Amino acid sequence: MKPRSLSIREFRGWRESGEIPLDRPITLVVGENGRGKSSLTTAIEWCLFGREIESAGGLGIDERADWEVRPREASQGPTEVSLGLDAPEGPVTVVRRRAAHASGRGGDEVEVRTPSGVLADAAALEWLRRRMPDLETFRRAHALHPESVRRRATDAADRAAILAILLGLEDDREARERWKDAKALDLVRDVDLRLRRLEADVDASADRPRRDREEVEKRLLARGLARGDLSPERAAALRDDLTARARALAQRLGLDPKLPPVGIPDSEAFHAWARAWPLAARERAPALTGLQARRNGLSHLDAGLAELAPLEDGLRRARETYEQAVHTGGDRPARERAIVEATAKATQAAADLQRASSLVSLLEDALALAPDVDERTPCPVCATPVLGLRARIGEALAHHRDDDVSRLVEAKAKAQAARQAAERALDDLARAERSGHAAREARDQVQKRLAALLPPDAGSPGVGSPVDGPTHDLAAAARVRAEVLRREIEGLEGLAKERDAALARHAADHDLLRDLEAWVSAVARLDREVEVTRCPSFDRLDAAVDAVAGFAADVESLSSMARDAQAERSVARGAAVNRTLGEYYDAIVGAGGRGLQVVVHATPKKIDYRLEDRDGLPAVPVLNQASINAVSLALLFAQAEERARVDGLSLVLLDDPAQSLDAERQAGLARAIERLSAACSVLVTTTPAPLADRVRDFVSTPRRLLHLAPRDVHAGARVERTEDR
Amino acid sequence: MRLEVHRRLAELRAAVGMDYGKCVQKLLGLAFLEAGALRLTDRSIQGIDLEVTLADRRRLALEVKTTEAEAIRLGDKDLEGLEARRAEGFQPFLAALGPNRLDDWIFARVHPGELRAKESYAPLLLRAWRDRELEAVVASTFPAVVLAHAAAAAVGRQSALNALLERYPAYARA
Repeated sequence: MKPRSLSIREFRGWRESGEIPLDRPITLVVGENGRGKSSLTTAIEWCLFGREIESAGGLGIDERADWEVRPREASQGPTEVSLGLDAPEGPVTVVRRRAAHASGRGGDEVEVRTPSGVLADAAALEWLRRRMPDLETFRRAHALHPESVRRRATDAADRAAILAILLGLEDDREARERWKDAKALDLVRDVDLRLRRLEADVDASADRPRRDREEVEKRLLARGLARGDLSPERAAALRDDLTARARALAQRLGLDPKLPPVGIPDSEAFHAWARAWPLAARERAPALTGLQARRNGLSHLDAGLAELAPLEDGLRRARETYEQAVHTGGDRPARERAIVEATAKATQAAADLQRASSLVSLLEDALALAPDVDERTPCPVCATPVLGLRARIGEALAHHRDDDVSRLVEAKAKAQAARQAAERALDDLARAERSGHAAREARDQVQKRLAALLPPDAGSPGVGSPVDGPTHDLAAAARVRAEVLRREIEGLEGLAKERDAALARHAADHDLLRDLEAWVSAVARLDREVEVTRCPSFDRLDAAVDAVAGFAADVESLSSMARDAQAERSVARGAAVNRTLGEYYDAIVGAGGRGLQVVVHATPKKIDYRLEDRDGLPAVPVLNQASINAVSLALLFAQAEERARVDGLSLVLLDDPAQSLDAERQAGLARAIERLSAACSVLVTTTPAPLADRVRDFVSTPRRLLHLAPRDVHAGARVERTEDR
Repeated sequence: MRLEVHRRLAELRAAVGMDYGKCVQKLLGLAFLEAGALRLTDRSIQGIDLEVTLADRRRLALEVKTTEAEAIRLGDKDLEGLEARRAEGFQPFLAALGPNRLDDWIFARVHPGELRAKESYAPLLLRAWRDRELEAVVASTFPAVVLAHAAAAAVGRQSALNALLERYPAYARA
């Protein structure tokens, strides 16, 4: 689609232009300053974009937005610009009209006259929207206002920003730059920061429970618990251990441990049990109740057996003494008989002695009575005269007194001695008997005591003779019993020791458990104090944070896609431009075939644009005004050619493009315009300058020169003459 | 996260330094096993960190990330590995644990193209892809696992946790 003609009425410097033909590949509008050149190119843009371009600025019109469309000296008629186009469907005319007294931001009348009919208002705007590029595209690929480029380039931060402007990618680049600050992610960071502050505030409020926890924790660690043991699970395991060990101990002690109910987390009940259990285990264990009785029994048995042994010895010795006495001196009857016999002998001896003594006494009496003469003297007894009686009595007396009495005295003494000896022997035997009896009695008493300590079937002490057998059985039974008791006592004492050890461990573990539960409780209390997630409103906060995260992720995702699209657009545009950029640039600046290309480097945070020559070396080292103009022209031409090839709009407006270009470059620009005109219709406005001469005289493309007349206040701008070449 | 659990993890981080990430990965593995995982493959050396078959037969591939910084950075290999596991029938997840007490495990589903390599993600942002059901599974056992084993890990590091993991028949190392 190419421009065919242009009509301007009451538009800025123009009052009534009449139909200006634009049907040549190159239209060169030549005029001094103030003759309406820029208004002419702007009229075309206004026709296509209306208020959109008025407010956009950057067109070189007063260098500001909201410029005035109507001249101050305009007539009462409306402002109207008609742009004739050669479209594929035939001649088309786009008309934009604004009433003389239109105010505010009211809409213009737009009309599109096509071979098939006239489209008005919305239909016309829709036709424009579909068939014409948008303003941004138009400005980068179809129109050049060097003043605008200069101003924007001046404002640009760096070379890449200038190139982005020239490529129409500044919005993308600025968006990418803005993304450095990532507002959506800031939102997430802000929420994160607020959550941390909340966490810190809550933590700060829990100082007391934290100290409690630390205190009990120190105690537990001092008890040898490892860090990993500080857990509710360890407390539960310890509690289970306590009850399991108590159950086992109770079974051995024959007790009911009366364990607290299983599975009911009643800490008070458990601890009450844990305190009471050792008392019960110590005092009421049936298995240990007989221990003291056994100890007493063993003590008595040991004492009895200790007492019995010497008694047995004594008894044995008494028995031996008695037997020896019997053996040597006969038994009691024999000894009694000996006494009787000795007594009889003694009695006989005494009687004999008595008789002898009586005889002696008689003899002495007789002697005393007998005359002391040797005659016959009458016997004092029988009165018979006896010769020598006195002598004879004397002899008899001597005989009896000296012999018989002495013999009888001796015999009597012997008999008495014999009797006494017999009596002593009997006494001795009696003493031996008494001694034996006493020994046996003493032994029997001990035996009875021992027997009382023995079970009924353990035998009974012998009765009677000290030599009877059961005595040994009893002592043996007592010893057996004592041994049994000793073993039983050992076992029970072992059990008691085991109980004591178990209860000591129980007490220690119970203390540990209480500390551990205190720790669990302190941790739970601390958790309650600081655990904001348990707060009912935390779920709402959590959901809100999720929503923020979701929103931020969506924005992040969209921005990521946008960044991809930006990068792709930049790369695509660079590629499109690079098809012809080098040739146009070479044409304008005479770069000697080094060419020029735009290199795009996109990162998540930045898009960079560089200019390189064909060999990939940095190009255009100094980006001064002339260079910017040259580069912007080359870029515009390259983009215009690409647009014409792809989208079919064949129109380029160059508003005084020769600014800042020397004559040589203006000649180069003419060459570039010649080349561009092969693809696009080019409308160039210029002052009478080398460019005008070069286009007029050295370009082979059909071209038309429109010379503008000096501006007349009443007639406005006008074409003074037309020159077709 | 419960204060005590957070405290134990902070102590573990202080004790093991650079090993912290791997230790936490193994604690997470223990938590899955305690939760009844049918199989757990620990790829400490190469590839995706954990492969888990849950009791409901879901098969998960987890890239585990812990951070003290504000952001988690994903590498090409992380995402490529997860994509490879997806092709094998695993559901790929990014398991992230931040350093703060209000941070808890976030299991972010990884969909192609949504999480990007070489980009940084605040753990909070990963909530956008979170799988609450999976988080609940881990939350039911992870605190107890940390309380029970963090102290051992602080001393014995990875090898201590490997020994614990090896007690589970469902555990395998790759």
